[in-house]
Amino acid sequence: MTHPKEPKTRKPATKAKPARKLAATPEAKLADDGIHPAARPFLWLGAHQVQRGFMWVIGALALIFVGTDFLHHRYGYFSWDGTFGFYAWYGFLSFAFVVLMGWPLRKLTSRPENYYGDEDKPDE
Amino acid sequence: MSELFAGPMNPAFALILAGLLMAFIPDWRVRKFIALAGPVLALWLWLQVGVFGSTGGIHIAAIGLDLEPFRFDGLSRIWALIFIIAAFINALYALHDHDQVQDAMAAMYGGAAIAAVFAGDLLTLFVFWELTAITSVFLIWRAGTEASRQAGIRYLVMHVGSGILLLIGAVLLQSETGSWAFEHIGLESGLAGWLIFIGFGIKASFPFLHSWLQDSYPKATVTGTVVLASFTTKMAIYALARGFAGEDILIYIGVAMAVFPVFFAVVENDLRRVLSFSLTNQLGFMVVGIGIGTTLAINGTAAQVFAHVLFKGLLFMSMGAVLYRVGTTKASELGGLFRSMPFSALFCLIGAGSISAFPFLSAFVTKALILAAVADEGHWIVLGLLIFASAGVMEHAGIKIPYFAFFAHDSGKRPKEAPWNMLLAMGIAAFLCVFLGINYGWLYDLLPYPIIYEPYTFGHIVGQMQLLLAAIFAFALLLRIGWYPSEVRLTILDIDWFWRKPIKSFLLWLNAVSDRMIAAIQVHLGKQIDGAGRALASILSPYGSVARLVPRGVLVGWAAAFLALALLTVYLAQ
Amino acid sequence: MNFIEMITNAGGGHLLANAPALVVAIPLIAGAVAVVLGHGKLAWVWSVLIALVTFGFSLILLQSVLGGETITYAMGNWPAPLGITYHIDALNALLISLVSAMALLALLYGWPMVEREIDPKKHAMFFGTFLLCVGGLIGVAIAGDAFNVFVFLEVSSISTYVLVAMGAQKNRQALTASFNYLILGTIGATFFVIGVGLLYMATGTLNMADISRILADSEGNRVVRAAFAFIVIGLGLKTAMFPLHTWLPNAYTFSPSMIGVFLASTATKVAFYILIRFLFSVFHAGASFETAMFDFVLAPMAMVAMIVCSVQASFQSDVRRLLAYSSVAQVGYMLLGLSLGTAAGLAAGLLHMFNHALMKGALFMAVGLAGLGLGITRVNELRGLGKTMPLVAAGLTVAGLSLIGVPLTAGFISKYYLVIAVLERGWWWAVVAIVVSSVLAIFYVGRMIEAMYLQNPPTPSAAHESDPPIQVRSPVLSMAALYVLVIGSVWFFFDPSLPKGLADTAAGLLIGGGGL
Repeated sequence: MTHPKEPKTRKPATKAKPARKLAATPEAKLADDGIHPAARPFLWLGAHQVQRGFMWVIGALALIFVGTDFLHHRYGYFSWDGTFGFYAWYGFLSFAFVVLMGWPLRKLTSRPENYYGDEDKPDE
Repeated sequence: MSELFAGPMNPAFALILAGLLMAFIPDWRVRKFIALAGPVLALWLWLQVGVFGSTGGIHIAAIGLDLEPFRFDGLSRIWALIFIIAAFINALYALHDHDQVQDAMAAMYGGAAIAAVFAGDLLTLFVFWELTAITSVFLIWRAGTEASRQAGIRYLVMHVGSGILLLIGAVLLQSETGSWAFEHIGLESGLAGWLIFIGFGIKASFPFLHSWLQDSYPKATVTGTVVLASFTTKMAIYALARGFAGEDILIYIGVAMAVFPVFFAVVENDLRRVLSFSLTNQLGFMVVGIGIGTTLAINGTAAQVFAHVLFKGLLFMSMGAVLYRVGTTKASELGGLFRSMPFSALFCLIGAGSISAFPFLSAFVTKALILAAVADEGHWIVLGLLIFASAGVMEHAGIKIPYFAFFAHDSGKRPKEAPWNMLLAMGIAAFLCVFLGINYGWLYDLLPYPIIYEPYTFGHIVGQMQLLLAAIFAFALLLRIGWYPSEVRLTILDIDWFWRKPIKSFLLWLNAVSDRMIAAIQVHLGKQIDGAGRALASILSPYGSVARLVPRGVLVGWAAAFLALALLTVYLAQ
Repeated sequence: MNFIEMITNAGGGHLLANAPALVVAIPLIAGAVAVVLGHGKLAWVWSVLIALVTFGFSLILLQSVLGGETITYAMGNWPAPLGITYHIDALNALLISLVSAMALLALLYGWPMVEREIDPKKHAMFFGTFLLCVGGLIGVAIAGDAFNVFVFLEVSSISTYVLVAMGAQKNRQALTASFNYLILGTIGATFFVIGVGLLYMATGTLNMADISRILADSEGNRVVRAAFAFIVIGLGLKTAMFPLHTWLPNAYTFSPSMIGVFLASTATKVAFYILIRFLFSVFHAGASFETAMFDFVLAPMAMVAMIVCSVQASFQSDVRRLLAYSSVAQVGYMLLGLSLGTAAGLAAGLLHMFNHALMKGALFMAVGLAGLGLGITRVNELRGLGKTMPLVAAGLTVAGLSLIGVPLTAGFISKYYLVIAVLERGWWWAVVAIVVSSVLAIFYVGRMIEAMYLQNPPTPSAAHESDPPIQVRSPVLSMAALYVLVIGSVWFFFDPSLPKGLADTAAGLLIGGGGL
């Protein structure tokens, strides 16, 4: 297990309580930087390179599944959805459309957070 | 009375009784024991029933009223089971919380939902329909904020109104057919059918009637949202499946429900609100299934409900854990939480994978039934839109929820992992999501109609993987090039804007205007009525001379007018 | 009922035989004595004693008609057509018991309020007038001839105007309220007396039993029909039949607390009783003009009242005003039952009348106690009452639930029988009105419950936020009176046999053979 460059000097977590156990136990470390022991082996998930590389891994996987359409004809519900790579391009375009529609939609409907005047006001 | 207790007991009573008990028990340990024992007892009762049929019918001979509070058949059986399981998981999830009101109300709410599902007549249905509304609103109010108080009131108005529509429709229907039985109703029964349909539609969050859901669920308590998401809407789906299966209009309503929330979910910042939009989207799939109405489609809807309660509950639970530990579910404030909440992150990913219908997770084996039924009926446009909506599900529930909460850029927040009881509850739900995805035969056996369907075909697996992976790739790409709308703190308007802003202003304006108008009428038109009234008062009343001092001649005018009406009625009577 | 036998045995047959006269005469005479007594507290003790004795006599009467018998009592042994007769059956025995019981409870409850709200110099006057009012109401219920009904109606009404006006010390608006009540009440009385006059023209007698006999065979000429319309509208005014209810909200809101309690649970009920008496005993329910009145005036107005006044109640900010509007809506329920023209409907209306007296009395008592303890008059001021006055809040809640008609409360029983009676007639639209009105009741009662239990009590500026709220104690006797009614509102769910039996008997008498 490699521990990538997770900055160790980070301030303790906001909710970290004073360590109740002896300083040598793993729990003490939890209190130190707030990292859960079970999460330690997976900290590489947060690394910058991993997050950048993620896109290519997914892209490659998607291509593999499109490629299987070559090997074996895939039957759909209708004629059109059984065509080569249909779900891949349809999924990609649908997703992109939904996300890009977010911009005009936000322009149209967004208001300041406390628009209705009832946010975060404690009950009298 | 004896026949009430002759047959098997209604499992709903176990939960309602547990709720009533908890309302009077101050000690939280005893209460928590009851909260967990209630669903277990209900499950035991459910297992005892065994045979289909109706038990414990109540016949009130004097007015020919036949009530059927416990109808156990293929359709009600599966709904009751998932409600019982949900009640148990929810009770476990709330184990750390010592709020007596919520303990009692959550149990009664679950019991009422089960009782509504078992209702064989419309009057029983109405009673428990309203009981779910009245008990559940406390789960919103107990959040204790001004926003939750107001949202709770709006919620209550919508839901009580839904019950009234149901009742009026039921009474109309009874006056036509002479029966209170809750069977297929259909829209061809005219006004009665439409009223009941809209009553059901409010709770099923039909478009334009939906906003109570996105308004209130995100404002409820940590545990309350999970409970709310389990019952009300699924009860409405049951009622639609029972009363309106095969109504074509439901196909189009369902498609609209599946599609429009997808867009709103993209721009919404509060992740619990994103999940609320996702809820409406999921209900859309079920409503389409009901609209198709074939045995395969109804099976698909039932299966989808079963799986949905688990994975949607799981997602709400993971966001509840975040809210409990961090104090907010705003995406703009979160990120990188997997470092300190790894188990919550894992369970959230399982929930996200399930709702997106990855192979070997639950929705994969249930949603396909609905899509297959749609295709069987030749609705190719509907199918295309539902696949589009599936890509949308991947966006907001499959990616947005886990990514912005647990991954994305590190917010620097290091909250503690969720309490053990929350993790256990999430773990059970996550296990069931995987279990159903693999042992789908177990679920298929529970469906209302016999079914032969094989979800794991080459075409289905490959097609679904293409769709999901291409969608994730699109996400990663758009994020990389900065075209993904970044998370910022905003309020997104929805249909409820209409009554929270213009209609509210209009009512306030109307109030002011009517005050003045009445004053003006009193001054101008009032003079005539006033005069006549005063004349009458001075004739009829021994205190007539004094009456002139008070400008209340109008009232006397009323009395005279009413007397005239009475005289007219009496004279005209034959 | 051993103790009743004990009393009657002790006093010999004489007391029993003259109970019908005594139950009216005692409060009327004692009222005059109370004024002479002069001293405030003494007058109160005297009034309590008198109310107790009256209640005892009303129980004797109730006991003797439980089986469906009727008693006709000739004043001074003058026979019917010439002398004054009193007439007692299951219907008015229930009412007389209700009035005397409520008078007793209101008195037990009311001393702290009276001490606070009324000038000490007027205390004796106040209690004297109150006893007069009680005597008048009982007189209305017991009188066997139409003119005596009018006289007693005026005795009770005039004393009510005075009692309402005595709220002026608390709020000057009581004077206007009382004056409006006086104007409309007098017009009502005038309509009534005109109607009675017309009846006398047509039949030549004032004795209700005789009028009934004479009218039995005729469809009614124009004079009789006019008399009918005048009497119904006149009594409708007193019953607060929509839209003739406008006097009621202010009168209930601004009257002294004790009077609010008493009026809300008796005054409109007595008027309702005499309306029934005229509709079913004097006139005949089968007559075409009466059916027309039921179908085209009373039933529609009842339903409009149930819904419109419930909406109005939902918008009130003053608690007592809210309850007053709710009362008008509840009168709608009673009138709806009556206008069905069936025995089941009539019984349901009567049962609701009884139950409503219990719950509305309890509600006004609880609100009065909240006003006494914390100066509360508005709905939003009720906030946190569950913490500051838990017992009062609990009483208010239970009575409120009964007002909605929640199962396990008496309100459910009467609404249930009403719905059944309505369905029997096939008036499903009336069921809709009942449901809508009940749901509106959930809102206006819910507003109070929400404020009491879900909101925190206002913190005095000096106190710290986290301090436990200060509990306010209420006078023991007042609490006892409140809880008699609260327990009654629950008790009569589990055992409705007494009011239900009486209502059924009365309805049977009225529908069957006129009951006079």
